[in-house]
Amino acid sequence: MRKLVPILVGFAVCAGIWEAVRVGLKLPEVVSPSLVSIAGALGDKAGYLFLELLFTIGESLAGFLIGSTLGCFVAFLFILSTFFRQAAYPIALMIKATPLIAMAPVVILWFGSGLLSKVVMSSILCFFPVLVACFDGLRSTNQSVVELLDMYGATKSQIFWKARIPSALPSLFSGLKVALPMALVGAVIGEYLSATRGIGYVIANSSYHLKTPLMYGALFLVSATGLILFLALILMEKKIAFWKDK
Amino acid sequence: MAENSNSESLTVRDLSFSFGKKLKVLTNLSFSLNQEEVLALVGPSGCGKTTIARLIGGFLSPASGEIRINGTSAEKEELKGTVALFSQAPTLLPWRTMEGNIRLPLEFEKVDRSGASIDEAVETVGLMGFEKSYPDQLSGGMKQRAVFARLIVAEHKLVLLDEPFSSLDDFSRQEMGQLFIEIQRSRKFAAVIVTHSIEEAVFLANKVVVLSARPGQVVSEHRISFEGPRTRELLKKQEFFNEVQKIRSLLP
Repeated sequence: MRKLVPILVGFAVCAGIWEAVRVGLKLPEVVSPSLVSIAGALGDKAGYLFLELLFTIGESLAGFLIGSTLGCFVAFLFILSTFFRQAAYPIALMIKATPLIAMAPVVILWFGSGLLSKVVMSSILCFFPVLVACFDGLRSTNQSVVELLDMYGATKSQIFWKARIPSALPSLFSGLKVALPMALVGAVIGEYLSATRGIGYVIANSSYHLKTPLMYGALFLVSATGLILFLALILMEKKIAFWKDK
Repeated sequence: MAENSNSESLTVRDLSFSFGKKLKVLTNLSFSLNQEEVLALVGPSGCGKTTIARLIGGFLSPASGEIRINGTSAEKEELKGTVALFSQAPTLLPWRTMEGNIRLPLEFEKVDRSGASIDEAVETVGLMGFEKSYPDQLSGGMKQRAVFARLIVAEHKLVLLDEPFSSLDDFSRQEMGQLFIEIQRSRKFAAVIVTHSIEEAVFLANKVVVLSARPGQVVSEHRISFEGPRTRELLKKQEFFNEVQKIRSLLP
């Protein structure tokens, strides 16, 4: 409970600044609606927003799982083959350096304007941070541990599963913590550009129709969802890579 | 420690090693170690002591010369499971409990599993009650004890220790030295200890090999024998100081 106090204070200060700026600068309701109007819009459309949010979370988590799994898989290949790493790293860097907004038309062209293109966009954003983190983790395995297992006659596969994978977990979680909010960003951008479902679509649609309280409400829901997913990942990290901060 | 066996556990003959073409680390090094004996390598910093341990362990290949363990040429694949190397910091897996760490060697086929049971090993090193603790919950001395426990659940022909107690305070060093002697005596393995401490070398070893500055070569071999057991009481005796002085005078 004590840990919640600074978080609640932070939210209260932000809400206070929002209202103070809005009232102080006499901003019109359509540009900067009051928190009461935003809360009202959220209440009125609660059922609808909940379903759209679930849709976006589904796309994000699917993209996160696929992108992270691919990132880990390619990191394993990087460890196994220097040639593959030298051949594939520049390509991975090029994908990372290309803005998602520039790739989106291609992704929509290939995968349609439905759920699949959003999953793909989320995957693309998740792939690189997980690849780098997992590769660094696998590479930085304590050499003494590897030598110890080698002396016991461990096979390469045993060293991989008993030493390299557990050693990589703390670093992998650092990558996953970067990737998870990115997954949400990928899905929302995809929905914003071309979709008929999801919270990104709600933001775009309410923006066109100047339903700004609903737009801000949907925006708040995306941010809050990102925070909750991030906290859930931290809990998982504490359970799985429990030795990290000790 | 047994001193009556003539068969050699380790023979190093004319061993030379260089890092690259220019950095000659060891040159024409020869020494031997009998079964069930402990040999200590001492010498100035950078003389190649750790390199010798890594060569014997098969982690490096000599430029020339020969290393034989129990009479056969030490090829890395054959050494697996039979030689144990202890590095300067206790190598424990942080994601495993102490018990899991001790059980580790038993998970590999090449390791001779006829050593002590895990319970016996834990009792020998005095870590009862800490079986489910993780390494970060143990002190430096306790981690070292866990490493010793891991040593005795498997049967090793040769144990290599590279500055094994360097991270411990003086009291813990003596305590661990005493424990090591007890374990070595009961499990009857041969051991090579690399150390900066002449006192530690004299206390633990049957034979001290003094090395020159780089490129390391054998300056002198000195056999150590004390009447009576090697306990911490020995550290206060004149005969111990005399041996330490002898070794010190041999150092370049």
